Amino acid sequence: MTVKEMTGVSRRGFIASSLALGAAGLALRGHPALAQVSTEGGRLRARLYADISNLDPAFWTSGSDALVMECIFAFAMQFETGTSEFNALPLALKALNVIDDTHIGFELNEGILYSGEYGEMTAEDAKFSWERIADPAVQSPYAADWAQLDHVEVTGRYSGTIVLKSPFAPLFTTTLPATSGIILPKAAIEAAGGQFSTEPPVTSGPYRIREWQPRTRVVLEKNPDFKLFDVVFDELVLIPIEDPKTAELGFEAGDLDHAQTSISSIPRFAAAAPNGGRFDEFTALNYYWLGMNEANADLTDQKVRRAIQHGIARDAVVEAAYLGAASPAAGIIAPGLAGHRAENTYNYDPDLARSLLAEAGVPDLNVTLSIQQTAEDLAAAQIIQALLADIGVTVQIDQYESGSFWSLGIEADGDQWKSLQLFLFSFTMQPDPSWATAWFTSEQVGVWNWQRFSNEEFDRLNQEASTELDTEKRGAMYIRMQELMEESGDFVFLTFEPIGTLTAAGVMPAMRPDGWPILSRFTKA
Amino acid sequence: MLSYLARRILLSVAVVLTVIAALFAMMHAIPGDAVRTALGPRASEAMVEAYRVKMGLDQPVLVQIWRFFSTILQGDLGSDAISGVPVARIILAQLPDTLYLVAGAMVVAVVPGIWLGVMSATHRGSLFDRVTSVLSVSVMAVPSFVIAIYLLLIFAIHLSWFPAIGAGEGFADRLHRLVLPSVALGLAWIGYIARILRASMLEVMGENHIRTARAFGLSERRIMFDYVLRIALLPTITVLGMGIGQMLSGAVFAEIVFGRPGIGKLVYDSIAARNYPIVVGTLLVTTGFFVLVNLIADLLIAFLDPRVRNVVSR
Repeated sequence: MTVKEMTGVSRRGFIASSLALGAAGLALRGHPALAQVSTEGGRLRARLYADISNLDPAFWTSGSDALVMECIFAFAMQFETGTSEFNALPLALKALNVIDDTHIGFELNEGILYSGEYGEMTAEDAKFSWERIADPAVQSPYAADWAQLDHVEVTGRYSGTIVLKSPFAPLFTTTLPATSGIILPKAAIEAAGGQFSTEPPVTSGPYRIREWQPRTRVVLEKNPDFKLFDVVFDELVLIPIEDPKTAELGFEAGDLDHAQTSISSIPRFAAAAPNGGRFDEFTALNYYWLGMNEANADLTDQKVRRAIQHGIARDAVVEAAYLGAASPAAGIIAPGLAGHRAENTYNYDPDLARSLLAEAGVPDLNVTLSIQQTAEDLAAAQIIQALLADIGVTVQIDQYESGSFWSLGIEADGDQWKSLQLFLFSFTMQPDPSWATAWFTSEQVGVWNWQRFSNEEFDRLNQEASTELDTEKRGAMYIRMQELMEESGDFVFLTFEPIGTLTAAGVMPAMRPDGWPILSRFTKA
Repeated sequence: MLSYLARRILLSVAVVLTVIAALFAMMHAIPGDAVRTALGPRASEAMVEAYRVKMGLDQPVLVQIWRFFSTILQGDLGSDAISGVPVARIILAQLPDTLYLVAGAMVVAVVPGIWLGVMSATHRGSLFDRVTSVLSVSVMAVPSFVIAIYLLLIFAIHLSWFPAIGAGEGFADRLHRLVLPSVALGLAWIGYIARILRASMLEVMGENHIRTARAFGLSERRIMFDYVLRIALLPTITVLGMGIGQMLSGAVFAEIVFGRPGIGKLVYDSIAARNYPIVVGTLLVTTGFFVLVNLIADLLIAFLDPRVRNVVSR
């Protein structure tokens, strides 16, 4: 029996049918959710650094989450845009009143409406939301934002008092103006089972989610009930593009209206922005440094670590890594924040480096420098390798993909931390100096403090600075902490990373001083 | 034929299970902590530990593999370690974009590839044959990501004929945005298919039954399409079966360069984030798809070639 007899299908018939079915399949592709959107009223297409993964204020995980949360929730406070200094202004809050160091009165704007049937934002919602993040039972990674919260007293439908266990300076700089200050109704969170991820049960911000195609796009539409400021664009289309080079090409081809560029492209775009658009350059809060593991046998002698410090010309490293788009940093707290340090306590001095190594009795030192697989890290590492060769230190560069790199110094992940020697690191932070220093306490040794730097004075100052409300005194404390870090020999502070952004002609961006876009406040030029 | 089909299906299932078990073990052998990635640097040790238990990552790898296969048999691929969204939902949302990319690349590869192969074989030694030969080797030698970048610079930015990024909305826009990534992914295969088909056709053209057909006075056109091409296409079908698998794995670069969604980029990002449930779920689907395509290719060969069918039947 032939196949045709068995199936009734000839070879030619089979091939013809297959082609027809394939074409029909392609033609029928198209989910209703992907229907063409209206461009009436304005549509802003922007790059999202990655897809959203969790929009719950207690459990969000990435900058992309925070970017979208800033669009769909009315933040308690929001940073002013277009300024060089961080200045948080009330948004959902109408006013804040410092009664004393541990009692902060607040009043909400009336008429902030939630989506669905959840009515108006009230002080009861603020109490629930803020106490929820602080509650140890919730296990929020952001509990530290409300670490000093004792409780919230509700004094009226729209007013209340934040009662702290002790003064807490970051409350006004990073807790209330960021995601931990978001106010949500208790009923909505309970209806969602106590927490949510990518499908918020309620929104209150300038936009609401109209469509989320995982890893494809997030489409936000203007919330007609939002009255706290004028929203210009009817629709935000946020496209997850991890690779900044791809985003640049997308912008140049006219597929994007706003995108952060790669660091290597900053000089090119600074010279001429494509398509008549605008290019803006910012200094991010991200700090970049070379760390040394003082627990490693080759680096236990402080003289060796200080020799390495003196053997590295930081300006040459930064120039190579950031192609002239960044300047050397003297610390880990960015300009514009309390505690920013303008100068180092040492200079590039290869002769001194050589004599320190001779004193330590290690004229021929071999070390490894662990880096991530990025162009910036590799360029910086190669310059460090050349500079240290000049003082008699041989550097082997070990490159890791990000997942492997981020476990190198973590004790819980194995014993590899013991062989870790030099490493290039970059941390991101919120606009409060406490975020910069939190990772270098003795408590963080083996977690994120890969230098294993441990200093009692540092730990004490870190604790005291978070409760100090006098900005000047607080700044002095953070400067001293950075001096201690430097004196240990464990750190070579390199730079604050530059950020470049492209914005299409006809669009006026609204940017924080660190280059963070507040998309809901973008306007037409 | 039915026993052949049954044996091939059983073998395919065994391949899928082996590959997934091996990949599952390898994923756990590489350094990096899925829990810390999911919770971020501010999570306390207690939170990290609680989450590890919740995800079952505190169990030995063999137990995790057993649990994984048990849940798969119940039709459940688990949930994303970070967002909690069901893995099946995430994969199903990404799979069509990759399949259409691979299909587009196949069209780009097969249509000109077959034409060039036939023309080269029928005009053996001509200028056309030589030029085709040089060009085939040239496009095979250029890495696809280089082709992708030049396609973007020329056709998206300078000429503005095609969009640069994204998957698009609606049928026409989607098709428009599919062109450049499909060309980037499929271009190298044009030369590959042309070379294989040319060699295969020349071999068949020298066989006795073709000479007999000519002796019977059949037209060259009929000889080519009914006798030569029918047999010469068989190695090409086998190669295409393998090629679909390679295109699936190669789709990741096209998805990154062209900012497209798809399972290639999904698995790449998930490995970086140590998001095990998505990695394993995606690999299960892609391995299953690859095995299925090759099964279909084998059956197709058996269907098109009576000799294979007869051997199988015996």
